[in-house]
Amino acid sequence: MTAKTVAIYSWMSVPVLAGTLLMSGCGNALKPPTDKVANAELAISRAQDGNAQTYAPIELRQAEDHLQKAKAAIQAEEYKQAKHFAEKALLDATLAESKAESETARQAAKEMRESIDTLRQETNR
Amino acid sequence: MRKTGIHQSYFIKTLAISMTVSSLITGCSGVPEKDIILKDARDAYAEAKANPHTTNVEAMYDASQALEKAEKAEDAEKMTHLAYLAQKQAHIAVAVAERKTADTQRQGLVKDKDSVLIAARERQIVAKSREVEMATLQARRTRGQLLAEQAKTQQLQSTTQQLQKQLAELKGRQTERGLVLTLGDVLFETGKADLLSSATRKIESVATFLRQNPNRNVLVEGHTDNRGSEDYNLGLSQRRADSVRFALIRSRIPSNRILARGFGENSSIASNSTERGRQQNRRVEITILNEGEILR
Repeated sequence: MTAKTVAIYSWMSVPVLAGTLLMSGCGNALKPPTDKVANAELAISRAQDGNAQTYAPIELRQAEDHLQKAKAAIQAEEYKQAKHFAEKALLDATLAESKAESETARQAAKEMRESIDTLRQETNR
Repeated sequence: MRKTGIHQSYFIKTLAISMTVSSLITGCSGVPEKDIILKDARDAYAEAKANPHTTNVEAMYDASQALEKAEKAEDAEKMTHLAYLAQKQAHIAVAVAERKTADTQRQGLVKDKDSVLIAARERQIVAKSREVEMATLQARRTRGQLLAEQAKTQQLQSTTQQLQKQLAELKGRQTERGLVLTLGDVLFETGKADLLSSATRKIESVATFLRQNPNRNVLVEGHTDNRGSEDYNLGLSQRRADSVRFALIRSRIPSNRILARGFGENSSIASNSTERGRQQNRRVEITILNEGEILR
């Protein structure tokens, strides 16, 4: 290879750089994240069935808000925003569900403890 | 040839440098305020990690993955988003861990409840069997008492029968005061107070009865017919009554159980106009008093 060849080939590093830049960060998701929105909706519905309204109302509300924002973003064709909102909504709903389950389990344990105490009192008479 | 080699190495070096530069831009995020953005997520993860219940909880793996992703984010916006998700994952892990703990507790409590119920049931059974035991003992005791009472009754009956037999043997006359036996005139020497041996049997049977029935006392009452003076008759009747009394005392009857009196001719039971009637009037009456009657 001549020095000239090297000079020509060295420009090949530019597309490498450019391509890398393109691939990182600010690329637009080109499709509406309808799957993610659907998953988030499902998660919210599961959380509601699990008494999240009673035991984790704040987290549930956050999930619903983020879901609304995701849907609005899809309408506005801001797909990257929509994807982020949908991801947030999913985790909010999962957290609401888990919290509700945890509270329910705690209640059940408490009731069981109380029932045993009552039983002990009655049978010790 | 040498020239080509040097040029090749230059090319490779340039490519290598440019790749390093690009990876510097994409990989090592030069995100300013990284610590601020990631603070809540890192804290949430640290808290979850410190929670003793989260050990072995699968959700902790998701939480650590999410935090790593956030740490590696290339720009502030992405990092902020990933930090939010990472924080939620950490909270989820804690909630899951707490649910598991509560479930385990509840299961343990179910066992406790069963134990309490079983213990209570056993106590019930023990109490019940003790009840049955006591009832059996009570029944046995009652039966024992019953048998004892029956025995007593039987004994009493036989005693009564014995008594009745004895009384019947005495061949007395039942009156208000008691049983009255009569010793006729023939049992005394004529006009005297000495008892003839023929009276022994009757006196002995009275004595036997009195010995067997120490709660009975005896009245001895002498009577005469109307021949002779009142004084004489009173005296004779008294002396005859005393004879009988003596005979009883000699038969080991305590003297304080015997009262002897003479009524003379004052208490006739037959007409004094006939010899037969007079003989009947000449008598000593022995009254075995009813139980508890005092001498008077």
